[in-house]
Amino acid sequence: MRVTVDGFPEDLPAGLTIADLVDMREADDTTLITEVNHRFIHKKDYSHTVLTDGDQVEFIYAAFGG
Amino acid sequence: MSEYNVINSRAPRLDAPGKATGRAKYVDDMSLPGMLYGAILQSPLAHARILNIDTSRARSLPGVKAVVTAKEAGLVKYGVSPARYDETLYCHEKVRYVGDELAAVAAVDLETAMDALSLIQVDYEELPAVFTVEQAMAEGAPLLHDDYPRNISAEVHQEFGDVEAGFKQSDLIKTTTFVNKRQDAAFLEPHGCLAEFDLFGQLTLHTSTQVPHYVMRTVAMVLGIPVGQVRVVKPYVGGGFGPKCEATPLEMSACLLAKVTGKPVKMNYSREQVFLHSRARHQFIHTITTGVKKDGTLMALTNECHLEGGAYTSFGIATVYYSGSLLGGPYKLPNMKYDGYRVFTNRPACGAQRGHGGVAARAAWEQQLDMIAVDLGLDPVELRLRNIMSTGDVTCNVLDMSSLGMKECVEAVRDGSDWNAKRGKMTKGKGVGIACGFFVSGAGYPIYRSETFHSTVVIKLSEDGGTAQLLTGSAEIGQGSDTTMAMIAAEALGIKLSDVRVTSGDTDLAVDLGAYSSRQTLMTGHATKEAAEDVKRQVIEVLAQELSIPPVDIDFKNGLVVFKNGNVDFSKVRTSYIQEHRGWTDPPSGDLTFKEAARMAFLAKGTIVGTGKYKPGRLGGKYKGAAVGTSPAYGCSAQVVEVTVDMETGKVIIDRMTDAHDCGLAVNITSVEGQMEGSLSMGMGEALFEEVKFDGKGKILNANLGEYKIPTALDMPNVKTIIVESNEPNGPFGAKEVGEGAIMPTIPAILNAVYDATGVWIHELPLTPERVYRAIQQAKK
Repeated sequence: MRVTVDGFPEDLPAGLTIADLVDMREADDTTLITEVNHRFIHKKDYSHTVLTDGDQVEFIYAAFGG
Repeated sequence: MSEYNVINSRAPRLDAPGKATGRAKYVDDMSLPGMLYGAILQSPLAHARILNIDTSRARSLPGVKAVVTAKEAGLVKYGVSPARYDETLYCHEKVRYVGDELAAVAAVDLETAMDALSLIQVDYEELPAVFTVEQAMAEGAPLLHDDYPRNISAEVHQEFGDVEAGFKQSDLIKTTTFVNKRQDAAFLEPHGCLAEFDLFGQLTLHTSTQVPHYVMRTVAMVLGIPVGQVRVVKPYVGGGFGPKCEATPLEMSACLLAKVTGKPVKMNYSREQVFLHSRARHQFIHTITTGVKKDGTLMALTNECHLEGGAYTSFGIATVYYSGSLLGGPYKLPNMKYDGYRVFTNRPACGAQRGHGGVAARAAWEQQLDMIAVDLGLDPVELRLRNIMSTGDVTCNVLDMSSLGMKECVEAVRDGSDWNAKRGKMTKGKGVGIACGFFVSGAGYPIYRSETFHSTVVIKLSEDGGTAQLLTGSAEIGQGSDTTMAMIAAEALGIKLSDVRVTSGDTDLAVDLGAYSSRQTLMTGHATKEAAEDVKRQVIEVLAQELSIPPVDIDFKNGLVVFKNGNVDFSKVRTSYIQEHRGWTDPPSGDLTFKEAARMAFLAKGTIVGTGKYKPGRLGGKYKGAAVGTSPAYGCSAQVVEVTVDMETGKVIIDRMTDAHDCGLAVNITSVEGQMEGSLSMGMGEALFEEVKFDGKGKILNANLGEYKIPTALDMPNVKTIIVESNEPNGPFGAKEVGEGAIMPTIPAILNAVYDATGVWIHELPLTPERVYRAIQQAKK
């Protein structure tokens, strides 16, 4: 399936969950905010949020200051 | 007596002579031959579809050299976080707030440019608008951005520990709702810039900014210019406080107009336009519930927050994150749940203002802690001391307090304010209040996803060895960072402060993410120290070889060479130096000087250049190397405020403020005190005076400093500042922030003092006389 991750399209295996993607990208951090199609995904829902073709995923490290 | 030779002392500011004599050049002092003046057309409507823009009459006006709209600028989206690039330079489909940008003009003078703006015809179809969180999130509300239902710009939900269990173990549970108001940062110098392309297509943008690096990248991206051809230079800056932390339509317009006309273009915001641009403090609505045991032990906290964010996201994702995360400390709190919602409204966009999302949250919670103390019959100081964190503690949301002088700060303000003699014992209408706070010392991540170093510094020794030229991209915006870096360099190198010259705020010199997030002392300071040590090593190597002694036997101190093992015959070095300087009337004598050693190093190796760099270390954890965390260090602060409240009119006067701040190590003691006092003054303004007001159509009513009141010298009380030094292991020489942490306790300390004076809790800012009076009357009923 084709999923846009952080603004760039990627070919990913079907049935991938957010938890799987976080593992694959070694993305975990206490400041991580994950969004799928502009919707916030709670950390407790990572393992049962299954990605589908066309999804847009953002991994945002929210501690970027200001 | 300090163990250091340069730092940890009071040093005169390097920028002071220029500012005091009027020689300091701000961007509006600058002009270039053939320069044009630019102006921006902004929407008069809060929400409207753009049907047509006709610029023909403007283009025909004599003296007008260019008119640009979205057609010329293009539609490259930008913003702060790449996950929220939701703005284009000029609106093309609709406008989203009064002040949204539509077009820009360059002309021979500003008057002509303004006349041209009035000739641009824009046809609108007005749309319904939303101005509050409630209106924006309501079912069926008009959407500002199609991708964000219910106008929720960003949301954050986090849970640490088990709040339900925590509440079950609590003897007292307290819930309050706290509201502040939109602010303006009210820096004295409005935004201004001057853009010029040279004959080779190289753009130079002089601009009043806190972040030359980010401005460079955004300008390059939006205008389609290679980053390497964009140079951003920050001149003297008259304050920033957060809203100057991102590229502005002003800057991009000036660059675009300079590109189109081939001439330099200068642009300024008026004071009204500063209000319209905003990017300042959000309105926050916090509903906080805290559970404690009867001895005051904190058990659980839930925090729901709605932020009224304005028309675009700006820093909003970080804001809504910090509104929750920064309540993880400085108390031991085992269980915490946060739900934050940042909401789009048809008002100017809010961003990051001093203290960011932590200020309102801290005010809400510190006031509630005092309420809990009163309910439990505990002294508020005692309640805090019973829960205080210490160095080495980690919060439930993994903020590592690698150094934390919080207890010392509380005890210092308790004793320094004569708290025990005053609290609950003063006459009606007089009271004291205390609060605590903490803040990051630099953000863990850059704004854009990158492994970039957060700071690089170059130090070049002048060939005669006399001066260390420190080149940095960091931004001196009045906080004293140039002097701080010079002091760090002088200390690390072992020379006098007067022998360091700083050139800063120029993207051609080095990479630095800029003056935000209270990062420069720690991050740029680290890079500066490393660069100085690199230079020192190179000079020592050459000298050691020349004198045939081990490098470890040589050091520099106050510009002199120190030999650690007895007398060393350096006569050959001296003789060579003197002979090279025949005719000089002040040959060196006595101890060998750094200048002589550095000259020798140049003769042996050529120009001596040292480089330094810094990015935050990794926390480790599940993925080695993945987790950076919120910040490498945290500063903390406690304040006691003493007030007089006129019970008949509600007027609040701040009589006295006692502030203790842990900055790790004070590099420049005078600057640290200045930052503390400045923070107190800003917090005082937010507590007592400041509110951006709107009419029913989204137009700002008080877009000037006559009606938007900020504290002046006449409003400031006596302030006692106490510096606590906890020696931060992650900071250069132990130093960490003081830029924003000191504002955290100010508002709640005032709120708590007003309670002590009146017996009334007020959960809404600002504490205008009317609001305080009404609260007093209500309490009487």
